[in-house]
Amino acid sequence: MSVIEMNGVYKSYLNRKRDTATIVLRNIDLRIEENEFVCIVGPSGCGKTTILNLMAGFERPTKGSVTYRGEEITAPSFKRGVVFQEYSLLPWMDVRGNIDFPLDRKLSADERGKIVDKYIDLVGLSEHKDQRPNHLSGGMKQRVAIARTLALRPDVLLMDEPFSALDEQTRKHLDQEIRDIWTKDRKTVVFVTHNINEALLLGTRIVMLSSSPGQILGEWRLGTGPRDMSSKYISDLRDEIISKLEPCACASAGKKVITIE
Amino acid sequence: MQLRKKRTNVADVIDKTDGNKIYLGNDLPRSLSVSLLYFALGVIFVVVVWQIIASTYNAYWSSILTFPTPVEAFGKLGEYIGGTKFLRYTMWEHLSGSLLRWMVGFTVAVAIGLTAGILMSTGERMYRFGMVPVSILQIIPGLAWLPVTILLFGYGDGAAIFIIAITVISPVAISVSTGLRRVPKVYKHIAETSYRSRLDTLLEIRLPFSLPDIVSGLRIGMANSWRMLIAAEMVVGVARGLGFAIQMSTDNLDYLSAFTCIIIICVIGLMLDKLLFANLERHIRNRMGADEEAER
Ligand SMILES: Nc1ncnc2c1ncn2[C@@H]1O[C@H](COP(=O)(O)OP(=O)(O)OP(=O)(O)O)[C@@H](O)[C@H]1O
Ligand SMILES: [Mg+2]
Repeated sequence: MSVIEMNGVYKSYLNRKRDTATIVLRNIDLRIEENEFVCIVGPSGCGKTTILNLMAGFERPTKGSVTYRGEEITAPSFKRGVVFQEYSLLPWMDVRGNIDFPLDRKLSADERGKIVDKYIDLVGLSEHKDQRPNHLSGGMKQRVAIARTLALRPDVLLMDEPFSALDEQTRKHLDQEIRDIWTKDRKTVVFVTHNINEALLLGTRIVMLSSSPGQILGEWRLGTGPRDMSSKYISDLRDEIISKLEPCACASAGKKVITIE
Repeated sequence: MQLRKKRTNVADVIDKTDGNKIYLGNDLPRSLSVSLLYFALGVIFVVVVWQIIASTYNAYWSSILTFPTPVEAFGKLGEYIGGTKFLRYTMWEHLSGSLLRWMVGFTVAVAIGLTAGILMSTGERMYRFGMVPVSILQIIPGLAWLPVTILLFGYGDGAAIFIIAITVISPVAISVSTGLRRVPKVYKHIAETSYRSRLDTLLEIRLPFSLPDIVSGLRIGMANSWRMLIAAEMVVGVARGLGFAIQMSTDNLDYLSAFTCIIIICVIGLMLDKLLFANLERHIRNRMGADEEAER
């Protein structure tokens, strides 16, 4: 059984006046298998966050089904941890407090403290554990967000462009950290990005979406081992993916809109 | 009087310092000394205007009554603070009577307003529906509730407390629901993918996030109710309190005593607003991080 399965999923949003619906996702079939690291790539606005929201359970599909281990997803759960695209730390709590908040209160304060410290260590922020988010750099904030989600030991990790707001250098560094963490405990991960290099570095599978409305354009499998980013295999694959991406990105200028009587 | 010590100028020493911290000394912040200065000037202005009105009145206007001057009023105030009774109670007793009424009314109103605000934040429909009674409450001036409160509570304390409370509920309910509705979606999502309950989320994320809005609402409510308290005491028949004292002294042509009560009302009101609420507001804004924008 797949961990997450999307079958014939459509998603549309009503506009403000509620007389028009914009189709954002069209007929998405996607299976996320155990221990996969699936990277979803696609141009901005193509519905990547929407897919993740459906998987998390923040939103319901307009048509079709999204299941988690065979059961229809009707609400969010701590089993599917999310790292958000935007900064999401609580500004009035320090790093420890932010990571502690979501944890189960059935654990004693002591046990929780150990978990918190462990994950702060894991993302290398031990020296900053008593600081408030506004004293942290963007990269540090996203690391805290990752630690917060990992500390819940979710079954599936859903990451929405966690590093897209960071500079290239920091992003590469954090990509490597994510790669290391995944190599260590092989979680099932769905990782959204619009950076093809990031996908090539991290993914065991790359899924590409076209925009307006989002449809799956292609899939590539890469195996689980470490990869040489400068190898011919990777650079050919990069060229192939980019060539698929370009014509559709231009062709999608007009959005598909349906009018409701 | 020197309010401000000379501070180290960062630019003078920045190139002569090892390490990356420069200690500047901890003197009275400039902004505080400046605002104290403006406050003093403002008070002096008010007292001068008062003196001019009093002298003019006493010289040209009336020969029977005298308009108390600032010196007389503050002198009398000193006497009352010293413990001289008027209208059967000391100034402290009148003040504590008023404050107690105010605190009971304010607390009850905050509890109701908070509950209403939380309920109104549970959905768009609840908000639209709830805003109607809240707006109705808000638009009716406090003293217009006189017939209602007399019917419900009769003359006395209960009636005064009702009038105080009724003017606080709306601003609190509005500010609480506004704050709660502004909580970013991403915080809601964090709570939903956690082990925590909805109550935990309300207490640890949604209400703390809304605190700046809530405190503004409390501050408006406090100003409303402080004014209403005095007015209510003048009309609903209580036997002790600042409003009652103003009313009775005026009836007895003891304008001097009435003026001392006005001074006390003003001082206590300013203290509640400028010391208590203004500091609370500043503290909370700092705590929320001057970085609300950075957090988006
Ligand atoms: N709540 C909503 N109401 C209306 N339209 C929405 C809503 N959420 C998303 N959309 C629309 O759906 C489309 C896809 O949005 P989505 O956030 O999934 O894109 P994305 O691929 O994550 O983009 P980006 O790379 O910029 O984050 C966009 O055109 C957006 O305007
Ligand atoms: Mg997105």
